[in-house]
Amino acid sequence: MYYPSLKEFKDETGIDVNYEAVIQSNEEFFGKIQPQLSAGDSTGWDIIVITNGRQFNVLTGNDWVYKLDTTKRPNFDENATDFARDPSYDQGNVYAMPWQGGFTGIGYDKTKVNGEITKMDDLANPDKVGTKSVGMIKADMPDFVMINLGIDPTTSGPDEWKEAAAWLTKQRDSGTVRQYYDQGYIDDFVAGNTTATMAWSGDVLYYKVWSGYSDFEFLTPENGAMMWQDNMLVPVGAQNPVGAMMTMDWYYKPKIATMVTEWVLYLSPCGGVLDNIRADAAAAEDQNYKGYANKLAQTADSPYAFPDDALLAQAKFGTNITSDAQAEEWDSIFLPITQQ
Amino acid sequence: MAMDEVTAQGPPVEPRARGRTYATRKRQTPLWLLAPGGIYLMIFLIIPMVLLVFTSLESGGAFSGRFYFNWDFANYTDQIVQYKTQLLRSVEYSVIVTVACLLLAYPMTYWIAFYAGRWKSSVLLLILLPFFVSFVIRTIQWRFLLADSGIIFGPLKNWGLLPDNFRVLATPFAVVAGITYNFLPFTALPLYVALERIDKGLVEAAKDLYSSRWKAFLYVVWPLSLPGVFAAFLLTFVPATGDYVNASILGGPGTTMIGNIIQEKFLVELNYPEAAAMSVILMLAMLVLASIYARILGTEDDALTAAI
Repeated sequence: MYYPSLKEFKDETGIDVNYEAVIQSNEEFFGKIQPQLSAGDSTGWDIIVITNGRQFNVLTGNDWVYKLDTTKRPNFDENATDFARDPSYDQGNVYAMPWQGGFTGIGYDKTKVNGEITKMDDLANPDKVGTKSVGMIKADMPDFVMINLGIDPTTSGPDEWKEAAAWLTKQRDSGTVRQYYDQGYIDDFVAGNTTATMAWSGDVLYYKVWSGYSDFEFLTPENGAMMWQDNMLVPVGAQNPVGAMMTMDWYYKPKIATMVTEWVLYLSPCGGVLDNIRADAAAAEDQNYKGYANKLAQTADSPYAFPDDALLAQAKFGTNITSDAQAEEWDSIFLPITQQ
Repeated sequence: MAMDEVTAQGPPVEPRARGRTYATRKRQTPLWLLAPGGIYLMIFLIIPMVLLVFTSLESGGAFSGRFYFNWDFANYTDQIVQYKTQLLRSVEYSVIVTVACLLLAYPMTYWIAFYAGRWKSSVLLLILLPFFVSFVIRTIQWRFLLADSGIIFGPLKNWGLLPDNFRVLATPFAVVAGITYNFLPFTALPLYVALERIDKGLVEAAKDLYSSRWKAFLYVVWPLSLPGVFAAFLLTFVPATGDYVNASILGGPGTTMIGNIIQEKFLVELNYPEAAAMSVILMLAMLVLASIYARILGTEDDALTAAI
């Protein structure tokens, strides 16, 4: 694979970065590296990317990742967005710098649902979405539901978790759910097996903008948006932690971050990207690459790639589980819903 | 059986010193022959099994960074109570799968063994052909084929032959059918080996003695093929019960199998002791069920090994 942003990095620093897209899910990848980390062995990786959540907290809580040298990230200091700085799960960005972020909301196919989808309860309404035709993302759904019930997950406890579980049980009993997904919800959505689905902002946007699925819509439900960030971490035993740090900071140059956003359509942790994309769109228009210009313009116009203050104010991160007792309680409440 | 032959058929001991070393060497031969496989199994089967049992009696959690051994038998008792439904469902699915596989594979392998003639190898290759593609990829292709408005059901729905809300995916049927498809070769091969070994002359002899075709099958072919049926049962039933790929790719709410629970315990909950306990429970359950089956079927050991 050819990664232009890494080629420029190599040209400038001489450091050759071997980028591998091997992480299928946080759970699976963590399962692979956990035995090495707990035995004190190197994982073989200099940078890993993990979403905020349980695996992230286990890594930082056990000091299985290095603390970052916070004085050596000039681009981050200059360009990181507000939400990338100082997130509740990693105050002071001591362990991690966000790679990309996104919203967990609802994706739906306009031609396959009855009426408009605006709120979470629509996913439990067979008249709107049909039976056995809603996709739910296992890892995100407890927080997604809590946020839409008006609960802030970051301050939630077992009572609030049970409220969310009650909603999820109600939804399951309504018969709308097709499957609870680890991954792969988007495949069933694209295949038309689900009419509406919990979805990550960039996925739906990608199909809409780049693959011509113009009937796809993505929205964050009216009661609240769930936000997450995938974070770059340096696991203990990394061979080249300094190079890792330089690589991480490299992606906080607006020009480089723009390259990534134009491709993945997720939420960039680096400021200044929007202006760059608009400039690129204008340049493409001038050179008569109308289609490409249009795609870039759609990306720039997406409120989920470039959220306004109102959406950001409404957006919340998920529950921050930090102990075994909490984890056990959480699992005992939520796993029985999907493990039917 | 093979080993018995080696030791039993050794030549008579030769005289004196040279003879003794020869005899000793002769006695050691089977050990040397067993060594590579034995060591391999020791390292990659026995040691992990011991570790698995060890882990299943541990306590602790991912956040505290470690687990410690304290004879925590609650890992076992809690699991059995909590996941009874999924355990029973897995056995139920697996029984259906095994029966379906036998019903599909027996006539097929019977034909190959008795009538395929010079096409035998080619037809066997056809049975093995799916193995050339990864298990998971084949299962994912099923999702593509059976999509609600996919290449099979889409046209049928357009022509009005199926109701609009008809679907196969996300149902127990899809899971059972998927496992059946994936395990069919495991059933077919041992059956073929057993049927192939049957002396065709026996069937002719039965007919000479005025047996009907059906009776010749019932009293001659079927009993002789039983070791194959038993081996096919083991090779299908045991792995099918622990399968989690089909349920997670083709299933929906209400089709969770015990393999999915174990997978989630390992990867999502990071609760290794409970996951290990669940695995041990599954293994023991399989062992008990297979032994009961062996008793009922009354298959003799050497017939079984011959078939495998």
